[in-house]
Amino acid sequence: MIRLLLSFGLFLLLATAALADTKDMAPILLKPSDVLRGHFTEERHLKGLSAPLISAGHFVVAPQQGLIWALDKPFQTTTVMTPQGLVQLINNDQVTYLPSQKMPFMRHLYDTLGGSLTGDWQALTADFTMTQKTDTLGWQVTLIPRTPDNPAMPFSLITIRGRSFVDHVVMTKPDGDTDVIDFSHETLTTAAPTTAESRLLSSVHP
Amino acid sequence: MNRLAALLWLILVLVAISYLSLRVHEGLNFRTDLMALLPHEEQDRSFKQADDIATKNLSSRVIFLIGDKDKTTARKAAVAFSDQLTNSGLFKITTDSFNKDPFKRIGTYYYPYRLGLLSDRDRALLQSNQGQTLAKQALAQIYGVVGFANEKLLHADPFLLMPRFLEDLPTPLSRVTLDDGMLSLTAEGMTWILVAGQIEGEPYDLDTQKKVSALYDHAVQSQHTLYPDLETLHLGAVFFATAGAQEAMGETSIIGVLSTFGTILLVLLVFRALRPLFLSLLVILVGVVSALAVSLLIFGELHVGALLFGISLIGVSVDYSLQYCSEVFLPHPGTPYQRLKRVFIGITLGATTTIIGYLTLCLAPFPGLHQIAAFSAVGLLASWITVVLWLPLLDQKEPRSHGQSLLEPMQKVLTFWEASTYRTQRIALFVVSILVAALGFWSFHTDDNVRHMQSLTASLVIEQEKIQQLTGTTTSGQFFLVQAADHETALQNEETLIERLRPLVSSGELGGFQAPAQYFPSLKRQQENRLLQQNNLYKPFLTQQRHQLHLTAATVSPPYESPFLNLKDKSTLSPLPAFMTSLLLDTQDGTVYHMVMLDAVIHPEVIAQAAKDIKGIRFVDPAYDFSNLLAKYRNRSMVLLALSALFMIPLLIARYGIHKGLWVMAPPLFAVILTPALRSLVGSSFTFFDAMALVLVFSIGVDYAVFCAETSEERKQVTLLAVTMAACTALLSFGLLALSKVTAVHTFGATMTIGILLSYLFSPLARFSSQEHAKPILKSLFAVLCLFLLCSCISPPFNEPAQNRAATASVAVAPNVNLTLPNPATLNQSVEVTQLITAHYGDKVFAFEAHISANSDHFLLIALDMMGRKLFTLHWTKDQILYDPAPWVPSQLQPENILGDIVLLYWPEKIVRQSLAPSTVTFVGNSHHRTLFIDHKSIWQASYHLKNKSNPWIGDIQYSNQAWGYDFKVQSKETNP
Repeated sequence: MIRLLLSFGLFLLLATAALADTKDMAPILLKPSDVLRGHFTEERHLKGLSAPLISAGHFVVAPQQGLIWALDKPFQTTTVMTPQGLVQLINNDQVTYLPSQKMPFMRHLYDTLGGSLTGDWQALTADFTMTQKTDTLGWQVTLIPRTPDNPAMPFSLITIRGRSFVDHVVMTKPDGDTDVIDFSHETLTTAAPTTAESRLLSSVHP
Repeated sequence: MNRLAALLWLILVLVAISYLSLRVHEGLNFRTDLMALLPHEEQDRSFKQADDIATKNLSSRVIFLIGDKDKTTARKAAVAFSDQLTNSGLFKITTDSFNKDPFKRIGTYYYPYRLGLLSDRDRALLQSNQGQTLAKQALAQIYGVVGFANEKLLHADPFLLMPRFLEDLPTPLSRVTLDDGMLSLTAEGMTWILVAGQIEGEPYDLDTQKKVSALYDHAVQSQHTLYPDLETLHLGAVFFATAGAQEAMGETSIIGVLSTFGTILLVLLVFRALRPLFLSLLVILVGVVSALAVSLLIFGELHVGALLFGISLIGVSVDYSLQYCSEVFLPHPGTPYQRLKRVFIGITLGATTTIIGYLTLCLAPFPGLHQIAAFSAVGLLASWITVVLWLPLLDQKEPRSHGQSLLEPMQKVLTFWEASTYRTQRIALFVVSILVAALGFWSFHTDDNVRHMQSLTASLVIEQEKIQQLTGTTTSGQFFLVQAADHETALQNEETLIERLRPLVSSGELGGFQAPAQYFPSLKRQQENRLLQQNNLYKPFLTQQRHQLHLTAATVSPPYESPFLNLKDKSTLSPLPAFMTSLLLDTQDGTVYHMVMLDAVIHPEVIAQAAKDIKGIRFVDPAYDFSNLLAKYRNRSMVLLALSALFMIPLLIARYGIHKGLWVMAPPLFAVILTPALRSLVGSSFTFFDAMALVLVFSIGVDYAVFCAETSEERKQVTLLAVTMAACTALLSFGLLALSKVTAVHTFGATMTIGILLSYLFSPLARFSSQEHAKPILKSLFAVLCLFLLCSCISPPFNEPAQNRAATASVAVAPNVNLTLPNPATLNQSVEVTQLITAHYGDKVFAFEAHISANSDHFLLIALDMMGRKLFTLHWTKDQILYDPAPWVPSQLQPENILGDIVLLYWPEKIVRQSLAPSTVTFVGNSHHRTLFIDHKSIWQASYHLKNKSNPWIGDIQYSNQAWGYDFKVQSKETNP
């Protein structure tokens, strides 16, 4: 969950961060009425398994409403996160519900998320040390957690690459496992979320 | 002179009758519990007292489960039921505060003392200076899947010490959860609500039992009328005792009726007249009445067991009137007094020896036996007096003409023993008897296990098993009794005991335990914990922790004046649930008593060792102790038998001289030796009750032998007729006991039957005193007797047979169904799959991912939660199971359970059957289904929807475990096809 949130936090943050040096690869600023959609494939490299676990799906981000992370392969699971909390569904049956009032840190994370959407990425630097560089392929950001021992921080290193949008994220865990996520077909529209998407976003309640 | 004596006797009898009527008028109470029969000896009085308190506490407990398919109905019924029970005043229900959340109450109770409370794991961490680890674990839990933290709690307890302490508290009913204020569990589609408590009053008092049972039946009935589909289960010692008492009372009446009826019929058939019947009944009646009156006078009350034997008294006391009445069959019987004179010595000697036999029972310190002995001895004496004083006066018999037809078969029997033509057959009989005896002793074995002697009502046992299966109780009836001058000492001693019990739990010797010190740490420990918290946790890590949790920096410095938890004021404990407070027994004479309950004890001796050298702690195993006692008294009974023989010898020698005197004892001795041999040939074990029966067999056998020895050539047939009738009536009394459902009584009856038959068979031998016959037979008898005494006396002290210990990699798939994990290579398949699993337990749902990689070397399972965090890694090889869980994974999740389900689902059928082998479970499988049955009832079943029938790993599986109440849906795909 943190992983998701952080990756989106970064995503959106970096979408708003002005990397003025490379104007032609400037990430796009997200307005409150924008809706971002795209696809992803994730490779999970777990210690002990010889081959990585591959999954794929699509996502929807609507600022101030929340985000939907839907896995299509190998299984159909959906995670919905909104200011009220987090909900997970398997084959459209709700299996988990975590209200944000029960998790103090979630509020913190959501604040971070909200903050980064408006361009305040002080919140992110509170948790990570950021180094960035640009090259011909685009920009690359490296995040190293300030408190690596904190169990709420399940990463030891995050590397992000992108051009207009975030393209590629590598998250390394303290025990050596790595998650590699590739994003594709990202589109930004001003159209409101579809009925199905809205239904999912409003399903997060006790 | 005779008339005067008869008159005096009449007066005495009338006095007895009036006394009896008085007692009946006041209300006669019979005790029904085995407890009353227990010997009062050996132990330390104070321990005995404490034992009694503990046992009474345990026997007063009752558990009810109210179940229905509809949760609301079950809850409503449970509340109404519980109210009915409480309002009657007979029950004290302890699960009744349905309004207030017990967990909240427990939390509220402990909160003021939190500075001194630490779970064992946290204590160990702080003691080894791993406060940082504790802090991290707390953070992990806070961020974990089951987040239960809220801001306020975190402010006061940022290290989650209280929740971790509460989590670690042992709970005996592991499957029962708190659901919206009520203790409930769901299984097989039913919701069950638990109602538990204690009865007020003595569980073994007949009156209490009757009231309690009636109330329970009434309460169940009223709920059933409202909710016809409701199901109820009940469990409690009081219910077993009531059922047992009812059975015993029922049997007493039946046996009494049958016995009397049979006797009447027999007498009528033989004498074909009413007067002998009337006389015999009079003798019996006077005997019983006197016995009752005198026993009640001496003891104040009687035990039902003693009454049961009293009824059997009928069989013996009628012997004397029969001896007298049978004289009527002689061609010249003479006057009544002449008839009496002829049998006088016989019946006097017989009565004396039998009374001696009964009185020897008084030497055993069993109060119950004292009652039986007194009852029977007085009854016999009274019968004898009646025969001697009254019968001749009341009898005006003329010789009966039909005597010949009766006497002829008697003569046939006598001829067998007397005529030289039958000599070979007689020798053959002896040889066969000795062979039988030898064979019997070869297979001779004793059994003192008290559990084998109980016959618990089947329906109650079924309910008990169902309750245990549903709730997860595994109480084994054993416990530690802790005795100390005050609570603090007791708690400190318990803490020492707990240190020794823990490794036993890890090694599987002990399933678990609940000690008061786990719920109420000693003051010493609380003080230690306070220091640990302050110095090893708060001082170094508090600020950092608060920062991590983004808690606003309100400085909350713990008050150093906060109270310590102590048990001085018991009223403060009232909000706590019963399972915590019931371990504290009432203080007696200034001594404090606690109990430490034990679960699933395998070897009691090993567990008992844990209390060695700890002052005031004693291991109590009621069943074992009682079985030991039975063993001891079994051996003692044989000594009693020898003693009673010894006491009889002087009398017999005085009458018959040495040789004949000893010879007269030969037939009963023979019977006593052959009977256990015969019984062991058919596979029965020799128990204490068999031993008691043999004592009586001997006394009765001596009666028959004496009658035969006393008779003359002219009267021998008549005597034998009387002895035959005596044997018949004895069989009617004791033989019928063999029909009893109570194992102990049945054993007694069976031995009595065989013993009496053999005594009767060999009694004519007593007539012969010629040494030519006597010596060799006596010698061989003596040899066999020695052999017999040797076997029964030197039998080993009671040893609980060692139960099979399950192999370490053994999993309880269901209660009493164990699966031994096979070698993982037996899967015989390479597997690389990714699974999505949705688990349902009650109304809780949990989803997770499982990634399995298996080949001939190993089986690897990595489980991730839906957020992608690792739940655990499970690496299974033929040598070991490596399980590495995330810190916040509940400890109840055990790798063996996971692997057990996997084996059942995926392993080849043949291997699955082998793994289940010792359990009595039926496994049925095909490509679409697998099911486990016990007694034709399904306890586990799986349905497969596979892509390829021969590969269970690709496709969907839906499986449920009805025994433990969970079901899983597994979607499984090949990893990266």
